[in-house]
Amino acid sequence: MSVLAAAPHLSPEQIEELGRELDDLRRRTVADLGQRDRDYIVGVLGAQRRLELAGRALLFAGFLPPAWLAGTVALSLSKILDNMEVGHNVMHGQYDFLDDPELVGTEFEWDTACPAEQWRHTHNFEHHTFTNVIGRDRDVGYAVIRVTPEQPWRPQNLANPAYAAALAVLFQYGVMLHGVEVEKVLAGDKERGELIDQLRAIGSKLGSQALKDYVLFPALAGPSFLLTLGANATANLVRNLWAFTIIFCGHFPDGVATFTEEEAAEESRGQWYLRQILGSANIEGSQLFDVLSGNLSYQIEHHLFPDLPAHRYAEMSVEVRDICQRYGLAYNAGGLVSQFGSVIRKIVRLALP
Amino acid sequence: MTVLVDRLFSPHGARAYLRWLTSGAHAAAVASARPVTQPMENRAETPDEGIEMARSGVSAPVVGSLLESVESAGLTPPNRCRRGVCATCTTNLVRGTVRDLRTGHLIEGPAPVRLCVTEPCGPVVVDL
Repeated sequence: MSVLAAAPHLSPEQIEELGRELDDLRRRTVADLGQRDRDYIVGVLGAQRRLELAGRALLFAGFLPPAWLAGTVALSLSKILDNMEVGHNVMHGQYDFLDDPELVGTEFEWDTACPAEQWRHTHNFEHHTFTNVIGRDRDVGYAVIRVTPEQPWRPQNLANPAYAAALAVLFQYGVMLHGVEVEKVLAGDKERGELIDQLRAIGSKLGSQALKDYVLFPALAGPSFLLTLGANATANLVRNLWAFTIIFCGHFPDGVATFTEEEAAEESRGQWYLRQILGSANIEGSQLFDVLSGNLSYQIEHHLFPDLPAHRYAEMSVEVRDICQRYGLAYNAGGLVSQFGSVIRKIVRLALP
Repeated sequence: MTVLVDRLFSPHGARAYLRWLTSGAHAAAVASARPVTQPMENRAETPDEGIEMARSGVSAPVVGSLLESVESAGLTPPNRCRRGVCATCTTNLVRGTVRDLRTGHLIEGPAPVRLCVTEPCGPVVVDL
């Protein structure tokens, strides 16, 4: 679908006016950035580190079931905060303005298998610039899952639900392999030198992550080796399932539009904004839910303003909703159960032609 | 052995990791207590006009955005989206003032800026 065809009631002038209103919201928010944003992210970072420290410490007493459970929960939450509210958002450059050496977008590294540098390319560039453009935004189904009828059906799509379930369980490894472009490698189209560089970086990151969670901390626990190993694997699994759920609700529920390469070429600023609104969906939940989702519960606002501090999206959403209403645009939002249910139904339905 | 231990926690190294793990909110608070902008040592002087590159010593006339201008002088800083989305071209503005082309707001150096969506307002020095 073209951006213009997706909103046929808007004239080109109206679309540019929509863009100016969103730029104005951006300008006012940027002018207000300061201590509040620093306090927020430093608070989240502190909470994440305390959770990791508490989790690792509790697991030394992992032979006591309550300590094992509490340690696993703390470590799961630490990984979720690190990946979603800190890592994802810092790497967008949302906190660059603080000039804090620990929060530099182009240098941050996170607690997951994917090397940050490769993720910054596939996510910040491919996904955020070409959001929902089939062929350019490889996040549309991650090259394995059919998430829109505009992707042609192939026989392997019969396994659509199985692929989705496997990706959910192994999410960090799926993200890790995303930049390698396995489909291109198999087709022989991948540049050899680039592939080797990527695999080398992945090997190093994967090695350090595996050593930390599956060798070093279990070994330090001595007789509780297997208990600590199990807890660390559980924390990684919990983070995988959570990240998969949140991320799939961002672009794949019913009502989200996809676009073709030709249609998204030569876009104006207003049209780019419009495509972000039409291609994203929000999840409504509590404030705690917002934090644990990295504020991707405000996926629409995140796609309009990917480089503004994510904890601002809640207040910005009031105006974005109003703008959408005034321009007659659907603002796709629903509870987690409703949005995720919609995603699952779609994945099952699209297994068939 | 030290190399092995350091590699365990690459890319930051073991000591950095342990410091990070045990510092909790304290280190973050210490880091955050620094002023938002910090003075940087640079050999380049603020030019009379145009863009001065602090590290390479090259200077460039303003022909558009900061990115377009430094490219016209033969530099190729990392960049991808060229529309302020991906943050790849984020570079330190050492001195001077730039305008955000999207919103018109002014950013005064020293501060990190996105080369592709800012243009100089008068003479500037960038960390390139």
